Amino acid sequence: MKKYDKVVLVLLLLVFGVGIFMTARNALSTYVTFAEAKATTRAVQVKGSAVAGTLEELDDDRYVFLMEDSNGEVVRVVAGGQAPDNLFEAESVVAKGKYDGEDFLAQNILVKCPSKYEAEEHPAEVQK
Amino acid sequence: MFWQIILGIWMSAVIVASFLYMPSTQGLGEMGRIIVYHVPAAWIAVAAYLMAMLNSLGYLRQNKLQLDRQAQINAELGTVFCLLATVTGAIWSRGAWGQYWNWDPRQTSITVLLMIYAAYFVLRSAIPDAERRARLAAVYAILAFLTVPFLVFIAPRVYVSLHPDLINVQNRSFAMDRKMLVVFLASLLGFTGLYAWMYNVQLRLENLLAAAAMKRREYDG
Repeated sequence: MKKYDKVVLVLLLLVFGVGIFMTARNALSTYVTFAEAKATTRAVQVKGSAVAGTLEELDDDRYVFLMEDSNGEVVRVVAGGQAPDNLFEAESVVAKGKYDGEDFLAQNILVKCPSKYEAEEHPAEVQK
Repeated sequence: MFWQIILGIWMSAVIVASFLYMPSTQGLGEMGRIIVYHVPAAWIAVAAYLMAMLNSLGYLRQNKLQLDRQAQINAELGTVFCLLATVTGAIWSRGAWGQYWNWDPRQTSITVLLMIYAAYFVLRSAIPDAERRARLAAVYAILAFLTVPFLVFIAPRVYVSLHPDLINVQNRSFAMDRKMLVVFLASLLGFTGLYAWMYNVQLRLENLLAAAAMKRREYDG
């Protein structure tokens, strides 16, 4: 391999690497905080956890709950339909939607189940 | 034929064991069983892409078209297993998170990976001359593999993701129920066997096609 080829190859690798890294930073930061959600008018995904016991069903087939993001900011989240069963047991909750100045209006609520690669304890076996 | 039968029995046993022998997972419940298929598929994809890179390095050193064929087959198999990991992941995500596709860092990074390797096949199909195609594809395959550790192992752990981590980097721990681990490792071995078999069949086919093409050229010339 000629010296010139090697220089070109190293340069290509650098450009490639930096390009991937720069693109990745934006593309891979899927989840934001409420502070970031308030600063934008775009639909975002806020990750946090649901504050236990704050679930309220509204009359118009919607529900609200308080959600705390990773900075500790608590915001009221309004979502349509039925609340996920494991909303409060979830390790984290993702609200997809927009901040309307007062509440966070979510189109979707995603939940991350706490997963341990341990066997589930069956209640029947525990009782024995 | 002997090894194919062993493999058939082995994989059938893994499938049965994943439902009957393996316990359901804490938190995920029955959904945790996907680990037996999803994770080995992803690991084999990485292994096949690694082999494609090694074959490509070999080609640039030795200039043998046989090595180019091996690289191509490995890239193809890597993509097949990568697609399997993506699809099984999306199905699982519907159950575990509530949506098939959420552009989670895991999902974004695997999409980028699939596109990088899709470009490899586009590149190959664009160059009619075998020697030139082999050389350019080899360089590309080496470059493409450089992104794999970042996209598969680093990115989803650096960026916030909903994806579960089998290996917990923060606690430096790897904890799995013993029965689960047995089925998981058996599946990993089965997937490796499946990959080796598919690779052999493909290589024999590609070698025959190459030999046939050579004969045709001799006949025409």
